Amino acid sequence: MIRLSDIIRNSVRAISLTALLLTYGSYVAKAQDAPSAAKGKELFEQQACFACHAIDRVVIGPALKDITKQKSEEWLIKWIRNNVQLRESGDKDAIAIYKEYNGAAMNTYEHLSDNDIKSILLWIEEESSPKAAPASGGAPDALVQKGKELFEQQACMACHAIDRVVIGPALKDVTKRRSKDWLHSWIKNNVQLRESGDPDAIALYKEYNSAAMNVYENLTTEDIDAILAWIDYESAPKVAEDSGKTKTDDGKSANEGSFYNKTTLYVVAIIAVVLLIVAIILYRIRRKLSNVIKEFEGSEQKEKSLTEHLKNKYSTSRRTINTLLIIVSVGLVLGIYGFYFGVTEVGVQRGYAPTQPIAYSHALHAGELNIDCRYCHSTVDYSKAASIPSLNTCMNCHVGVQLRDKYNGEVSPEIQKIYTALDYNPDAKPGERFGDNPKNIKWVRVHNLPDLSYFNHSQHANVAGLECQKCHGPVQEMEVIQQYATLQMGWCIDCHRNSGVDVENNDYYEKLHALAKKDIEKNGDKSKYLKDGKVNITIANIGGLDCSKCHY
Amino acid sequence: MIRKNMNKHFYIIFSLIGVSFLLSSCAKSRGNNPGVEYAPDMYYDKGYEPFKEKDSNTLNRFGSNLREPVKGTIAVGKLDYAYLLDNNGEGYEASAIQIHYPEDFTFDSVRGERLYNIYCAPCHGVEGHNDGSVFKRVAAIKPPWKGYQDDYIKNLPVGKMYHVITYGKNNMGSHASVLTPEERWQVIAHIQELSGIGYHKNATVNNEQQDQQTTIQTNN
Repeated sequence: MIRLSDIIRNSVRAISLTALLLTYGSYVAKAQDAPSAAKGKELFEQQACFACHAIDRVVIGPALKDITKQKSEEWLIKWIRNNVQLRESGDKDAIAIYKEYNGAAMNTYEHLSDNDIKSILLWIEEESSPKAAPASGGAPDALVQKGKELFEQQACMACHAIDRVVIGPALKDVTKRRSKDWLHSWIKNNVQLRESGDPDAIALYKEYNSAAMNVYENLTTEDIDAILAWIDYESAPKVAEDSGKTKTDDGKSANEGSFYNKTTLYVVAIIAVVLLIVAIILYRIRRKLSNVIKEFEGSEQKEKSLTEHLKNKYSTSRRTINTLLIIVSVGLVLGIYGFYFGVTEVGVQRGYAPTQPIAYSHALHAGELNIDCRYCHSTVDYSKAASIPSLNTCMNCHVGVQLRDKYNGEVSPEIQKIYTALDYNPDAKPGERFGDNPKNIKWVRVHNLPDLSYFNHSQHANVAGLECQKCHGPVQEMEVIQQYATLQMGWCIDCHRNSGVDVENNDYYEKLHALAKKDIEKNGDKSKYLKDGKVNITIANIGGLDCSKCHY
Repeated sequence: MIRKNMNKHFYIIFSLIGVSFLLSSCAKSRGNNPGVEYAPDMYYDKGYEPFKEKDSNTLNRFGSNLREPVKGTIAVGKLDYAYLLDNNGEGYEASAIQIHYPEDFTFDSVRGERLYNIYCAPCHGVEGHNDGSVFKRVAAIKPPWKGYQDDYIKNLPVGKMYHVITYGKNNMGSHASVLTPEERWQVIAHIQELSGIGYHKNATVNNEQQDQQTTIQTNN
């Protein structure tokens, strides 16, 4: 007999199995052997290295920038894997670093493979390399150029712009409005000019909210001429050179460099779909062919289609076993589904990253600009809640930072949202900018700790001195803020069990420390405060596991 | 025989497992989807919590749970929040004479430095050279003086510094909402340290301001 049908049947099996495996594999598999920067980044986050290290600044441990150039890879691997062992082996560098950073021992990472550590180092190397800076435009004319330089050097732009009021008036066509002599004496020493009783000068001072301009006695007449020349140049209507410029979008692709990124997932999914279609076509061909063969042999029984086939199978052979099998398989699937989703995910909002009313980027403010978390969340040291900053805090910088150069002279749309909410008009004169119809910004709360449990930020951030990242994750890398920790009870308890409390050097625990001292003196027994021969009082030891601490 | 049947149902079971994994990934919280909640009554407070809102607060402005203090009042123990000078050029000049370190102020250099590094260093730099990350990125909002070591800052009366922190000046905004009055003085003391003249509490609150404070007390 012809075995073509068997061959096709087997190939159908093989192809559909491969398709499923590929989809499943691309979905689940993350393990990768060769070291890569992307994997390094993942590990850096996963091992919470950022809790103590940053690339370009000291956190608790040293800054990691160019670390691969300063130390050999071999040494670094040894240090990262087990720095205690390295120190005990008498390595001078290791001991020096330990002492330099206040004797705060780094954790050991015995479970990391060589490739894991190499990945991390690769990522550090990649992050250390300077990022390309954008180039600036060309120069018009020597005097104008000098004026431009002086304008920047003297920080005139802190208070003046060409075509709008900043703190002082707009400078456009100022040379047409005022005489050259008047401008010279005003720029040099406006206080003197005002005191001499010049009515124009006094009127100007009053008009701009009595904010006195600085005195620039250090500028020569030529300097001022140069600045005025530059203002003239800028005031003249521009040839439409800007229209050709297109806004550059420097959006970063999320998983660059890694094999297991979104693009490959899509490719694999497409391949899987194609293979599935091929499988169905092959199945149909097989059916057709076997029908032809049967016809050729004179048999009248034709092969049925897939659905008929299944129906047939189910009704004829071993009904009970088939039913049982279907029930078991459905039960199994629902069971896994229920366990995986139902038990572990209900009420856990990990990964929740809602769209906020203003597209505020923590990656820019906390990461790139390195602004301390407390600058905005300033109540974290004193209060149960870490405050969402008022718009007043935004305006500390955004009074000046409007990014007009990026948006063709318009205020950046996201910053404009702050102004709209405050009813603030940046183009009005100082003193008249705030309107009387402010609104509030309704930020979407991300971390929703249930009402049934009590949490106090000041106790953790102030008394314990925890880094915010310990619970909130690498916020300085989040473009959109998201919940990092599960906020489940097990997660709280884990930390309370394992974290030691430095009662000796913390004023908050003064009384507790005195009590413990007394206890030791009285009983002469230190053992309950020790772990592995060292003094170790965990949060659990001082009542951190009491139910009523958090649930009352 | 069962084995043969297993073979037949193998694909179904296998694909159903796959589908279940895919489905579960959709139902997890991510993006705008907070995921499935169980017993929301236990999650959302009936009482008012700061920065938490289920149903809008009908009593307060904007439905907010936080409230501004009533105009013209000062909470008990917060007398130092009273600042009577106006936010303009005249107020700025007046602050030089009227505002000084409070009598009971003691400089805690560790706190002063910490506060400075949080609230000032992003712009003015850790050493006060106007080289913080924000000024580096947006040079246009830099002040004309080079740093705290300039004569301009060395000769600046502490009262003016206090006025600027409280109200802001030019491109600097008001930091009154993030620093308590006592913290503002800690920061000023640290700035004096940075400028090279060192912290010196050369004068205390003068009579004029004390009079003003007494007036407020009696008004309330």
